[in-house]
Amino acid sequence: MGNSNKINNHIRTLRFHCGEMTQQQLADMVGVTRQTINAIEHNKYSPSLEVAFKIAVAFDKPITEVFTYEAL
Amino acid sequence: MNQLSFQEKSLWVCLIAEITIYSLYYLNVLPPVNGNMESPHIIQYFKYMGLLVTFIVIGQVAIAIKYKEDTVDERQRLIEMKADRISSYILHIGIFAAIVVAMTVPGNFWFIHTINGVAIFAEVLNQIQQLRAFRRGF
Repeated sequence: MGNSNKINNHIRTLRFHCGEMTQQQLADMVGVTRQTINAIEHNKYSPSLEVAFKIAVAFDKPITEVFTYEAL
Repeated sequence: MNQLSFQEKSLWVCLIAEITIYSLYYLNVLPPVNGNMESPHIIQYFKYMGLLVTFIVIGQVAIAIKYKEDTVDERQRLIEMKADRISSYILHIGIFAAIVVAMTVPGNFWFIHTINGVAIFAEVLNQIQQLRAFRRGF
C-alpha cells in the first residue's frame, strides 16, 4: 500500500475520455473523498477491491481496463 | 486550504490546539514547588483542559461551517488505524515509565505529569503520523 506497489491505473485517461470528469465527480460516484481519488490516481494508495470495482463501474469499463498489475 | 480534506483540517486544529495549550500549561506549572500537585496546580490543570476543549470545539465547528464535510472513506480509516497502532506503542512505554517514576520519585507531581506528558506525546505523534500519511500517500 505504498509508492512501491505494482498496481497502476488509467484513471486520468478515463476521466479525460469521460468529458474531463473531475476527481470530485468521480469521488462522489464512488463514495470516497476527492483526496482518495487523487491518491489512487497517483499510485499513492491501492484501493480495496470494492472501491476498484466501483471506479470501473463509474467508467463503465471492466476492472482490467482501469487497473493493471505488473507481475514480476 | 481547499486542497485539504475535512479530516486533515480537523487534525491541524487539534494539533495546533494541543501544542499551544499544553505548552502554556507546562510553562505555568514547571518547575514544581514540591513533589506534589497542590491546589493551584489542580486548578491550572482543569483550567487548561477546559481551554483545550473549548479551542478544539470552536475550531471544529468553524471548519464544519466553512467547509462541507467529506465522506470518511476506507483510506482515512486505514490511516487512522495505522497512526493509532503507532501511538499505542508510545502509550505502553509511557505507562511503564510512569510506573518507574511512581516507584522512584517521591510525591505525585512527576507521576501525574509523566502520564499526562506521554498521553500528549502519543496524541501529537498520532496526528503528525496521520497528516504525513495524507500528504505523502498511504
